[in-house]
Amino acid sequence: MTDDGGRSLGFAQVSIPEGYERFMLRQLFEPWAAELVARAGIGPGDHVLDVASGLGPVARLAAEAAGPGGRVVASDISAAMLALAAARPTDPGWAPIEWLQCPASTIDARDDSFDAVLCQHGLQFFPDRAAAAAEMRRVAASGGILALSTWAAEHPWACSAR
Amino acid sequence: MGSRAPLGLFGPVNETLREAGLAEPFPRAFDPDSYRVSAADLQELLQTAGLRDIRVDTVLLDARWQTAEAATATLLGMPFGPLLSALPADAQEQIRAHLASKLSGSADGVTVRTASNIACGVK
Repeated sequence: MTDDGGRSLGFAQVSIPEGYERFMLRQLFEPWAAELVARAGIGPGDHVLDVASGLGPVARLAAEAAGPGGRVVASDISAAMLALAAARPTDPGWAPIEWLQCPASTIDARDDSFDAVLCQHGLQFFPDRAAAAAEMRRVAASGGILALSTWAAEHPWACSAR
Repeated sequence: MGSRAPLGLFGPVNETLREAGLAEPFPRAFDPDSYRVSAADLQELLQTAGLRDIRVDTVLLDARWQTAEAATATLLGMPFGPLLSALPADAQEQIRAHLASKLSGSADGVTVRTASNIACGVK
């Protein structure tokens, strides 16, 4: 989930992914993943990287869009997150998902590897956002897309809607 | 934070933990501003990284929890989870009750509006 030694401490603990899965994944992060993946325009056969994947809501939707001929790599700094993500069932009609433990600032992938590089609500945890963006660009193929989401500063105190 | 209404989920969470007098587990942990990025900053970030055809959309989505208990349990899925879990049970309950009051749930559960900037660029 995170890339920062300070901010990532919580995510690295086993209890966090369980709470994240039970109370945040379906309610909050899966709907946002759909928004991000739709904008990335992922198609059959695409190779996709999901940076700071957490429990993989983006990776899973990308795998569905890429289909069995595609490839999805989901990276995260938290081994606990990746372990829980990898245990979730997948569909044979999806691209296979590889789970990769690495920080966003040093992605363990070759240059020009992916048709799409995505990152959902991870940027705010990166200690060097510019370095992370440069790294995500490095692994994107020429003509590939980089799509990322953050909580919007333009709506800092938007009140709850009931 | 003054009289501004808090951001759907994370504003109240940060505010609740700060008001409980807990020590921040990492710098700016309870500062909601540290979790948000503007569309202009995203545009500049991708431009500086060397991307082209950059577009940033601001999108609103409502997230819903069926009960206040489920909504306040989101604390357990955040980096603050261990901080909360280390407290005595009654202190944990007080914090969750305080958060529930800020989230203003109804009989139908708790719905909060969240806002994201989604940026896309081409290499």
